[in-house]
Amino acid sequence: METTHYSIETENLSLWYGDFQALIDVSVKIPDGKITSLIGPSGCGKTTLLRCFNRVNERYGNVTTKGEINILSKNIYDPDVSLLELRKTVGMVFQRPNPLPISVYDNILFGLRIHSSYGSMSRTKSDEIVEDALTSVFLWEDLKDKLKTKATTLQLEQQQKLCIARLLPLKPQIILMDEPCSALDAKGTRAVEELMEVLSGSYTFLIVTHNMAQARRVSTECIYMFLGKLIEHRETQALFDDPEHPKTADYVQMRYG
Amino acid sequence: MSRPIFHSISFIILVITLFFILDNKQETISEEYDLTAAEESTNSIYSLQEDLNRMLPILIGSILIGIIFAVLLQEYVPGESWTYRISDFIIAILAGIPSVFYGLLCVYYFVFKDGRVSYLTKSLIVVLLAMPITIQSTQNAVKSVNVSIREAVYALGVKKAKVITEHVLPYAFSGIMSGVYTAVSRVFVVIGLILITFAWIRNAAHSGTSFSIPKNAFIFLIIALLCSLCSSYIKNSLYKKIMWNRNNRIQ
Repeated sequence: METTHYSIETENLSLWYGDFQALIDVSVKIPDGKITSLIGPSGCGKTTLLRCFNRVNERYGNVTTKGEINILSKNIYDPDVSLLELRKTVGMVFQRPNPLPISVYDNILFGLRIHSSYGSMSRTKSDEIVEDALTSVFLWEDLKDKLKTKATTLQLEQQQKLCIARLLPLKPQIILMDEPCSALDAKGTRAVEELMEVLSGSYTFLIVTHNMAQARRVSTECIYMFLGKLIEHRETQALFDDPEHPKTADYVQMRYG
Repeated sequence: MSRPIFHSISFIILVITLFFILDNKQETISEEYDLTAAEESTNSIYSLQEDLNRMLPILIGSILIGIIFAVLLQEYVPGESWTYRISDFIIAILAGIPSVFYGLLCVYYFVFKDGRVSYLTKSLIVVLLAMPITIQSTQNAVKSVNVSIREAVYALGVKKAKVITEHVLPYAFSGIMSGVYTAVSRVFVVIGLILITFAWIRNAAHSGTSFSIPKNAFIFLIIALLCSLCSSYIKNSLYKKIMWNRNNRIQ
């Protein structure tokens, strides 16, 4: 019998922004090496939950968290956890492509340079890393002659792929995506989805999306959230075809949202 | 003309002009005024010039402290906290006071009180003129840095201090410089106008002597004008950047 491994596990996770409770007792298990989508109406806590997993929401200052988050079986709130290492393991892609205003080449190496000692990478090694990362996201052919171009001048689809490529040299095990295709057209969306499918065996993807068709197309499992609570978590097909909870049914059958 | 070139040229002009003033200070004064006449009022101008030499470190110091304070306030103090609100309120009031108010304060202390004012009081006036504007501009410049750049860098594991020094400050540099130019402009325009006012008062007191505007007052005003022009140019570019960020903000 096949045992399921989980990359992310939360236990009674609650989160407050000041006095406002954004997450209420969320317990969830995200399977390893698969694409899991988070759906729900605006303000239901999808992005907040996603940002808990690499602790980026802590930078807002007024955030209080209760409960447990285990990433690769390690509680990320343990005192010995290094934020640097956590963010190296858990990469994140944002809603709007956010390449840094430096060259394509430097964007790819940016994360790696932070996590390695100064001057530890030879030029040949750096070139190899850049080529591998761009090849993985199907950008090498388009950009091999434009490596010194400023990344912000690329097309949006290329920028978003570059943001994914920027994570790969760090060898993350989990990639969080916060509505990664919302700024892209249909062609760009398809390209990013194909890329996720190709990479899904090697990485665990957790994607927040408002596009239910996209959740259906790309994800193996789907989580429905409503007003800070996790309502239903099942295989995508089952959740859309036969939702157990009436609130999920209302949302996926578009009677709400 | 690209922004770095503009910055460099205006900065060089500023440095050369400052050097010129400081180098020729004594000569300019002795040409214009008869210090040997030992008029108390004339001494006050001399005192102002003397003080300028000592005031420059205060001006530079208050600008640097202002920048550091603004960055710490903006990056480390939560926007909802009382510390932030009170600081913001006080800075807004101080920055909002027109420089003419400080000018009158200077006239009172330097002219009517015959320059017999402590170095601390004079320094305080310079600090009040320069610091609030610097803080406010730096805060706005830091706020204008695109949120997505910060998020991208944080998500790759960069520490907060490094994000601020290596990403936020370089992108906010234009805005900070705009504030610095405005602050210098405020201080210099006040000093320039005081010199003119003083010359006029002296003329009124000794009717019959010819009324001549001190050359150094013009130099102060020219520097103030240059700084003001630089500041306006940068503010204009910054405004475009802020509007772009606002239109492209993550929903």
